Amino acid sequence: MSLSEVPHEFDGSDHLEFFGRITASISHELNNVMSIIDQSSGLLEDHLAVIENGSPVRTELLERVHEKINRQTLRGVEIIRRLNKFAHSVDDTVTTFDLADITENFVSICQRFAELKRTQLEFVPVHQRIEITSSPFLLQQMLFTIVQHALEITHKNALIQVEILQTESDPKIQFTIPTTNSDTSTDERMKEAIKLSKILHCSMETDISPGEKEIVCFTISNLT
Amino acid sequence: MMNCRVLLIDDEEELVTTLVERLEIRGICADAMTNGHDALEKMRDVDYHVVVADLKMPGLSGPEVIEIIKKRYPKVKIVLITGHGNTAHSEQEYPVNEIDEILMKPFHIDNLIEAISRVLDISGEEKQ
Repeated sequence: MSLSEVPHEFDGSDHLEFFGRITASISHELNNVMSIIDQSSGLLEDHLAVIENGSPVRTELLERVHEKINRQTLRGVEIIRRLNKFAHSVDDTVTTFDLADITENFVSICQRFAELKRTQLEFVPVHQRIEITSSPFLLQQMLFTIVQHALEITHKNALIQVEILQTESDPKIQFTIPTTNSDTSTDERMKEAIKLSKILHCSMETDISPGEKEIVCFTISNLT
Repeated sequence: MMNCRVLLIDDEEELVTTLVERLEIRGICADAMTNGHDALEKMRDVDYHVVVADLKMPGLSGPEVIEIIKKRYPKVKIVLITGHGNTAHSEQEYPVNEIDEILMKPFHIDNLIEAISRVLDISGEEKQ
């Protein structure tokens, strides 16, 4: 099935805007990694120049820079792995995939948005495959609207949790959002999430405990 | 250049600490802070000539920190560093009048030193 065959009221610009925001965020993060590797490599050059001039340089200094380059290289590889998985989520509009894997990957991508708001976003690990037939791209677009909503209503240092609840029928994705704001009914993000959930045939429930937390839970149904 | 003191603010700790080491090898006194609040606290105790701040940071953003610094310490020069690929677009995100120089990440250490020299109006001879 192609994207145009999935009936919905979103036009291409909505999807492009979402794709652009995610890739811009990832490229910023990669830019930081490259900057650190670049400056660390420069620092090694600085130390080598000192050695060439006949002055000693402590081995620990060189080891520290080497470790930093290794650490940042691994960080870069992980960011690229996440980006690659996200980019391939548009390969098939509707496909069978591991819901836990896609959700975990996307929550990791969104962690930078949470960090910028001084909050934490955590995926509660699931130790088994949860296969579902749906649109991985639209699902992530829906998750992103909830993440944005969560970051708007939560407070500094809050821990937003995303978990997958296994039920006898369809699996559910649940966001637990600590909040001091109880008036979220008119939130634009939630309206967008509701629209996307309809396209994906998800049912969505919101449970608000004023001044404490908001729980957004949606059941993922198979698209056939 | 030897008498100038620089404060670097970026939430990427390994970036600012490496830059501090490289500036110090070149005889420039520098300190690193990873958020705006700590940077403002540090500025209460130490007089800086130049602040090098990242555009996007958790908590107080680069433009917010810069605005406070310019209000409290109008003589301090500001170099903004950004990972945004499009300068024209990032200009909408920062207070243009309060920025003395902008550097796009990643940058060469010489470009940073040149930017510091320019904002302090130091000639090539003085840099040596």
